Amino acid sequence: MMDRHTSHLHNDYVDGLLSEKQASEVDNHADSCEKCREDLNQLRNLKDRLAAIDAPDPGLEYFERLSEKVAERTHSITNESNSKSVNIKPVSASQAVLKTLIRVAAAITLLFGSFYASDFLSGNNQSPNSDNWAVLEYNIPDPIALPDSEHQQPPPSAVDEESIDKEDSDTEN
Amino acid sequence: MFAQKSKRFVTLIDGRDIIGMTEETTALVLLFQKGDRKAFTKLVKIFRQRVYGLAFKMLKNHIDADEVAQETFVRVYKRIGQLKSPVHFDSFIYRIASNYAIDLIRKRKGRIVAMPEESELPGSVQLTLATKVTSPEKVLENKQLLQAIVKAAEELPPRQQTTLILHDIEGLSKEEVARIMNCPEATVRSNLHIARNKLKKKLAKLLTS
Repeated sequence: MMDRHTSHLHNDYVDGLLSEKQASEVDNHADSCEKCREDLNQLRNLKDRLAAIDAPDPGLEYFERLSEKVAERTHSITNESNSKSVNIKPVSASQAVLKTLIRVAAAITLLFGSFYASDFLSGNNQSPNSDNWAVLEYNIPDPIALPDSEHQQPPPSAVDEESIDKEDSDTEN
Repeated sequence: MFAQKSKRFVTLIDGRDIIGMTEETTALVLLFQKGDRKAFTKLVKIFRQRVYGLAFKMLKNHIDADEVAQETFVRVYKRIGQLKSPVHFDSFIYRIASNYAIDLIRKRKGRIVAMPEESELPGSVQLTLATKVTSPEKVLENKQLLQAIVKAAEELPPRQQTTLILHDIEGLSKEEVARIMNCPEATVRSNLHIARNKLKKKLAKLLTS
């Protein structure tokens, strides 16, 4: 066991996280293994150097300025949130015009929509653009029975030959 | 009553007071949460140097460190309502600062960043090695080693770099780092070991001498 390298324990060793038994295992192995001894030394050296790195001190004047800047920025945040909670946000003239236009457009849409809906439900769906409606009704079967028998016929591809033959014979009779 | 319950959170490593939440600081956080602006001002004063220091260690220049410091306190002001445990205000502020610094590192990736000794910005400041040096040769050697460490650390992925800075440079415990980085302690341990091993490999010669 003592001959096995202990490099997997070295990080925890330098952090002081190993048990006494494990730590002595690392120590004993390092005494006889140059590779592990070197690895441990490098790790200790790195850790010490990193711990010694310090940020510079830009001085009290800088930190006072920093506090002032933070105070300014947070003060404006407080003001913003206060104005939001107390005052009703003023609406500009252009926003007011836009809102009116949207309302008028909605009213017109509703008016025309209700006109077409009532026309459609009463069975008279001849709109000025009825050709387009016919195409739609042909592709999508309408659940409401239409007076025009042409619209009730299934598309040609869906009709089987037997029914065509039957129809033909009926006509002949 | 609260003051009696709250504990003093100070970690001492090699005699350094690394990070601490005193009863006074915790009380200030509570006041700030109730809307006391003066308490916030005092908290800025307490933490400004630590936040700036962390940011500088992560970004290695004054301008970015200043940006991180300002933005951190503004974000703390906006998000103080999210902090449930006032005794963890230090982790809360460190998390905001390190996340913002990580964002900056990612944004600046690929951009040429001046090494400390090359920085020509007015009033620029540099990272230092706080070691007692006796000879000019030793000063030069330390400077070279610092540059090499900084350069090697910069090449680490941002989260490994941050873990290394928080644990090995700032001296925080793995538990604190995990709380700041919002990840399990096992992840901190793993990231730390990977980061150290990478640095060790790159700096083998310098670390041996």
